[in-house]
Order: sequence, then C-alpha cells, then structure tokens
Amino acid sequence: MIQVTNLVKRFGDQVVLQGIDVQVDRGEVLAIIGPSGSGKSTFLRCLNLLEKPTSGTIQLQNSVLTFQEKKKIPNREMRQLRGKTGMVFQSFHLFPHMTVRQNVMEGPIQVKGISASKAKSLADVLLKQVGLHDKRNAYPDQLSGGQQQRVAIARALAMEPEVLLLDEPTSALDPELVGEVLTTIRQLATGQQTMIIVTHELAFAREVADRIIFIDEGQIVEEGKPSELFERPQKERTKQFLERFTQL
Amino acid sequence: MDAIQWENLFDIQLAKGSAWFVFQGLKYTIIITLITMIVGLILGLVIALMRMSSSKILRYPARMYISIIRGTPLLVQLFILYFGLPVIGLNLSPFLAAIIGLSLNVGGYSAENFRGALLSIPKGQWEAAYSINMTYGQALRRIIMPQALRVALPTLANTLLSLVKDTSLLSMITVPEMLYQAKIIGGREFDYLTMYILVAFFYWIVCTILAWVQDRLEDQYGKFAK
Ligand SMILES: Nc1ncnc2c1ncn2[C@@H]1O[C@H](COP(=O)(O)OP(=O)(O)OP(=O)(O)O)[C@@H](O)[C@H]1O
Ligand SMILES: [Mg+2]
Repeated sequence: MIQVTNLVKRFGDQVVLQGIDVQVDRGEVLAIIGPSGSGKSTFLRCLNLLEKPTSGTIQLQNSVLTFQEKKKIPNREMRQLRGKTGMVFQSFHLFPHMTVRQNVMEGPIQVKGISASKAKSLADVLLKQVGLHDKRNAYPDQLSGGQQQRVAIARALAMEPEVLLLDEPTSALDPELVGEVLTTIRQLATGQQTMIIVTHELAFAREVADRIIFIDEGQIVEEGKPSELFERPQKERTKQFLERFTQL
Repeated sequence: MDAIQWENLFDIQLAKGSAWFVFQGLKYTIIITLITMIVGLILGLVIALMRMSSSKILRYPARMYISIIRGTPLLVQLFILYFGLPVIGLNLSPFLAAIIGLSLNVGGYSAENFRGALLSIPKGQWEAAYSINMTYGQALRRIIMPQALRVALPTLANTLLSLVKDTSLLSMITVPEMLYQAKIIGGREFDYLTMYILVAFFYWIVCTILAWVQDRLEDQYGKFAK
C-alpha cells in the first residue's frame, strides 16, 4: 500500500536520510526505532510532506510523487497524498482555542466539507473510542497530557487516513500517563489501522508492531519481525542500541 | 505676588458656549477612525503576510513600506498626500487624504504587530493544521489567526487609541475635526487656550471610554488564554 523508494532528505549540507526504502502493507503496523538524531522524525514528516523530500519516490495507493531537487510538485498532488495520511505529534498540538470536540470536527468540516451534524456524530464516536467523550466540551489546557494525546489521535482518525503516522506519541508524557495512550494505539492496531510508529518504547514496539525498522544515521540498518530483531539482531549497531536501551 | 489668574487659563463661559460646535468635529474623528481602523488593519495583515512570505517579490516591498511608514512623521505623510499629490495632478479631498494617510499609517504599524503575533504561534499549530490537510488559507483563518488576534489584541487596542488622538493632526489638512473646530473659535475669540483645553477634555473622554472597552474585551479573551 505504501512504497517508499530511495528517499533522500538533506538540510543544507547535512544528509539526514540517505536513501530509505520502505514498504508497508494495508493493516500493517510498522515501528521505527533508532538513536536520537537518526532521522526518524524527518522520515515521518517526509511521508506527509511536512518536509519536502530532496529526492526519491513516495507511493501511497494511487498517489505517486517523485521528488527531485528543484522540481516543483503541484500543491494539488501534495495535498492528495497528505490527505491519505494522519499525523500524531510528540507534543499533541491540539488547537487551544477549540473544544475537544471542535478539534476533532474541524478537519472533516473544513477540509472534507461534511455537514456539522455529521461531523459531530463522527467526533462523538471517535471520542468514545478513545475514552474521552465526557471531556468533549473541555478545552485542551484543561486536559492531562495523556488525554490531549488521545484527542490528537481522534482528530487524526476523523480524517480517515489510510496510514496513521505517530511520532513518539508518548515521549512527552509523565510515566503514569503513557499506558492510556498505548492502550488506545493498541486498539487501533487490532482494528486494522495501518500505522507507522516512531517510538522509544521498545517493549511496546515489540508487542504491537508487525515489523520493526532500526534506523541509524539516516539509513535502515536492519528490519524484521519483532521477535527476530529483538532476539537475534544481525548487525552490531542494532545489538549495541538494544543493549543500551534495555540497560536504561 | 499676584494671585494666579485662573480665568486667563480657562474661560468657562466660552467653553460652554462653544462645546457643541467643537463636539460636531467628533463625528469626523469617529468616522475617520472607524474607516481607517478597518482598512488599516486589513492592509496591515496583508503586509505582515507579505513580509513573512518566502518570496522576495512579496517580502521586500513589504519591508520597504513598513520602514517608510515607521521612519517618517505622520504629519509629513499627510502633507505629502494632501499638498504634494495635486502637483502631479491628483487632487484629494481633505477627507480622502485623511483616510488614505491614516490607513497607510495604521497598516505600517499594525503589520509589525500582526507579524509578531503570528510568529508567536508555535510552528506546531501550522503543522497540525496541515496534517489534517488544511490549505494555507484555511490554516491561517481557522487556526492561526484566532490565536494570533488574541495575542495582538492589547497592541491593536493601543493602535486604536493612538489613531483617535492622531486624528487631531488632520486639522492641519483642513479636516473639520475637533481641533480644527476649536481653532476656529479660538481665533475668533482670541482665546486658544480655553479651546485647546476643551478639546483635550473631549479626547480624554473618548479615549477613556475606549480603554474601558479594551479592558472588558481583554477580560473576555483572557478566560481562554493559557
Ligand atoms: N528543519 C531542520 N533543519 C535542519 N536540520 C534539521 C531539521 N530537522 C531535523 N534536522 C536534523 O536532522 C537530523 C535528524 O533529525 P530527526 O528529528 O529526524 O531525528 P530523530 O531520529 O527524530 O531524533 P529524536 O529521537 O531525537 O526525535 C538531526 O541531526 C537534526 O538536527
Ligand atoms: Mg524525533
């Protein structure tokens, strides 16, 4: 369903992604792990074009975009691809001037043009799903971090993305709030939502992901099933990373 | 030493007799302020967005404009519009020259306010808006502007107060606002001082009312502020 070919991203002279190839099937959950600064966020942000890739190809169903330096991609094509993705950010980025429910309804109404009453019932369904229906009229700053992140997930789901991209969705949370967000993501995984999750929660990645990719210095070092990658890492760098992390 | 001669400073009879005449100038102050505020703020927002654009063709003219407006006296700007443009064949009525001059001025100052307010909104808000596939316009209108306006409100209110007071400069290009009216009577009665004090009093009343409204507005908005 998703096919990324030879994706390169440079910031000035710094090559942050040096030719990434990834394929994701429908309903698959892919976890990306790797040290800080290895390009994990950049990779996700390239997928929904918050960053414009320097070169390479991204295919998402019938949207195929090939990037080259100095080549301009029409806005319409960029939005067509982006519309198939949803993004959950490390620090939530809910809209602070809107209630929880308005946050979820905003995309469907403004972008998809569906009626307010339909958007409202959609939002209610999603807020029930993430367990926050009773908070629907609260403002984001009245919620805990874990609750905010679950609203952010509902907001992304409201656009019915083909693939949900999550960038360290629990890293900004107090330890006692991590569980509730992981529970929500776990539910999505069993519900056939295609997802790409960047995470430092290795145990969670192992449990929920169908496949794990280990990235270092902008390159895929190793990928495989969780059991394989965690128990029999082939590459030295993967071993070192896993050891360091399990010691923490 | 002689006693202080208060009656030389302020002639109550004259003030009472001419209050209505001066007060008539207030309608110019109000009309011009209203039109100018609306036109000037729209202009300011457009200039701010141009100033923040990635395109040089938009950015440089905006910077130039802001620099000129903020770097030259308002009175000189008004003189150039009113006395200068007829030389090249453009005759503006005092009223039109006033509207144009003040709008350009408000535009220049509020552009910087808007820019500051827009920049104060975290980049994550733009990204969140884009991530639900909003266009630039939708993100700006629905997500960024409502938050930026809240930030800009106190400064914009100050712009409004300055604008009300700056309308007094329009007497210099013969707009019959309050100061102009006051000067007519002051000249006729050989008592400018009483008339100036009367005008000051009127301005003070208007600005006090506006400041009161501003406080109420900020209270309202403050409820949702972080
Ligand atoms: N907008 C940018 N401009 C310049 N350099 C950037 C930009 N964004 C990221 N980088 C650089 O790209 C590299 C990869 O960053 P990225 O955020 O993708 O790493 P990451 O794997 O997500 O790390 P972390 O685990 O800390 O989130 C870093 O060296 C970073 O400094
Ligand atoms: Mg990151």
